[in-house]
Amino acid sequence: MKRILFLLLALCALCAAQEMPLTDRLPLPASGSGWRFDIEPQSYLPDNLFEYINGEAELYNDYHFAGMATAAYIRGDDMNMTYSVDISDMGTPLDAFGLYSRHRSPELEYAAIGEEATVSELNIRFFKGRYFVQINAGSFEEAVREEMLRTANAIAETLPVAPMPRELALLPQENQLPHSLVYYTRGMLGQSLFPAGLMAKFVVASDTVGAFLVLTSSAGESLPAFQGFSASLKERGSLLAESPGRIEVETPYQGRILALHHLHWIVGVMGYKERETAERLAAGLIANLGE
Amino acid sequence: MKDQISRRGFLRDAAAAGLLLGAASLPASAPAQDKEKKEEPAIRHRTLGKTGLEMTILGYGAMRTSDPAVIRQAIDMGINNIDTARGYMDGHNEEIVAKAVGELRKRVVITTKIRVGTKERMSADLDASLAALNTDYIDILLLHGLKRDEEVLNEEWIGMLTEAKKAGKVRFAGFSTHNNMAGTLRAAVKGGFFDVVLTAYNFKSEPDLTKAIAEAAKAGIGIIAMKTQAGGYTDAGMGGLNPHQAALKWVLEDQNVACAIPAMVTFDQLNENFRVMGSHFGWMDRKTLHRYGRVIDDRLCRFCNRCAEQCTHGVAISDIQRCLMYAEGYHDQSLALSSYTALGREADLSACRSCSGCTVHCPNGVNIAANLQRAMQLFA
Repeated sequence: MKRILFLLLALCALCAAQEMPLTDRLPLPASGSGWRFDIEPQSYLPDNLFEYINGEAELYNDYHFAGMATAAYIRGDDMNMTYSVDISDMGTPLDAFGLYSRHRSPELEYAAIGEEATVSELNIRFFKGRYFVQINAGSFEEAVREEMLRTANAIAETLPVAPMPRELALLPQENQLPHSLVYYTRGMLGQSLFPAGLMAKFVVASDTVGAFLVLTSSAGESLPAFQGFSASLKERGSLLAESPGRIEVETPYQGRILALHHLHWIVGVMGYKERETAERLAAGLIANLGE
Repeated sequence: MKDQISRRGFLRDAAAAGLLLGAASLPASAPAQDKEKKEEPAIRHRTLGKTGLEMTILGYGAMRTSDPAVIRQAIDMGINNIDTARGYMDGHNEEIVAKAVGELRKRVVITTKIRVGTKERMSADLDASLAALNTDYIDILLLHGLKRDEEVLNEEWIGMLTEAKKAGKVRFAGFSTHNNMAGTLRAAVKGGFFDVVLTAYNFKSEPDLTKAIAEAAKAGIGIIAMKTQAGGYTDAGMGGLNPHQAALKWVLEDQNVACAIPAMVTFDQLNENFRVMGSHFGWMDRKTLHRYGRVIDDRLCRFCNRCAEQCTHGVAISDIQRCLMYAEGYHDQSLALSSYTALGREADLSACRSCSGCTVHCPNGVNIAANLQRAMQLFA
């Protein structure tokens, strides 16, 4: 009975956390610290986000952006001691990861804030659950950076935990270059027909190559996408080999691409030198998908 | 402004414009100078104000592009100007552009943007952009998203840009604007410093913006247009009507605009926009925009919020129209529903069910009663 009660309470706490208005997730300046709001908390929605972040709003909306709470902080009246915080509700953990992944690259510095964070001289970005958080410094002051780190950790602690999206495991972990996985909602490989997809880099036999997986829900959706992709590849490149559900093309800009239609998936390898490398990686991708 | 269209094309379009006078208000056009006309799609250039840069009238908005191959193909097709920003994907977008441009740097005019702030921060951003773009110079550096007239005259920012020019890091300076476009353009004319302005501009823009663009162009400021396709509506009950090409042509018909930079992600979008360069705004385009305008005019809320105090029951009409736009314009039912749910009982459509008749009037002609009816069907 106690266990059930505990679970119910935990569930209620979780629900309450998830219902919290987004602006309430912005930490209040710690009293006595000298920090205060420079710009009071504000909210943005998909149709007016561009007023705040200009053209980048389009990228957010691609990832089903639902809302943002933002505020700027200042210590005293020192214009060199400022930073801003943007907390975006992306609707789902997959979209939050997707937007985060568009901002990261393997060579950045990483920290354990939220699920994962990138940290640079001027900003901190992380995602947790369905939230994407960005903190920007107004200067290079070390004290600002320290405050930003403290704020990032404080926000991360209050954000509800959610399981990592299962889609992220669809590309194998083995030999995957850390922090190279990116989730796209549209336009992956410049293809209009691809609804969404994942790309990552893999190190195979000392060669770094790209791998991709198009996420479709049925063979009825994936087959036309594969056929359209094949036609696009042939139009832009030189056909090396083709058989039902399989194509290999040398393209002018993306190098060699091997693409396969497997069940309701489209998998592929690109930018490789040796076909054997591509074949081996493609086999690994398919094996990882299972049935 | 130089533009390359044929005498035959000019006469054809003039005739079309005459036939359809009044169907849609076109921006005032300076007489175009004929130079050449090739088979469609033809590459067309215009001079970017006092910079003297010859820009293809179609530029490449790289903001959302994830694959450099699409940009590279655009360059190979002849597009010679690319727009990015330091803030897009934290500089990764600049890296994508750099990868696409590669050894063709001298063939391409690169525009990037930095956010305003302290001089130190802006200079650091510029250096970071130069590194990410793998170049020694930025062709056009824009201050990102200026809104107020006084921002255009900010001496510290102008000082930073002047130093960057002197150092050879930047060839031309400008700013981008999404808000108070006419005001900032006029401030730029008054200030006399900026070479280029990137402004939101489309067939739904106020006539005053068209005037301000003309004034700025006359003062030698190069005008680049963005947000040319007027929002995300593509087929909102329009039977597959796609207004993108017509909307882009409408902007480019204004000879005071040197080029437009629609955002492109896929090869298909590139090809679709590229075809615009070989054609002109004609009868069918006017008809398309007219039809498009008619479809969206009575349903597209401008979010002026002048309806806010008209409903005595406190229904959040503007917010509900936004939710409706998510459902009908963006086709995102979950976003629509979650946004509607977030309104709460005090502001949702509950009161409408017991209301004898909606008397709220929209100054922009939106049929609010009909919209609320559809919203009730969707969200009830």
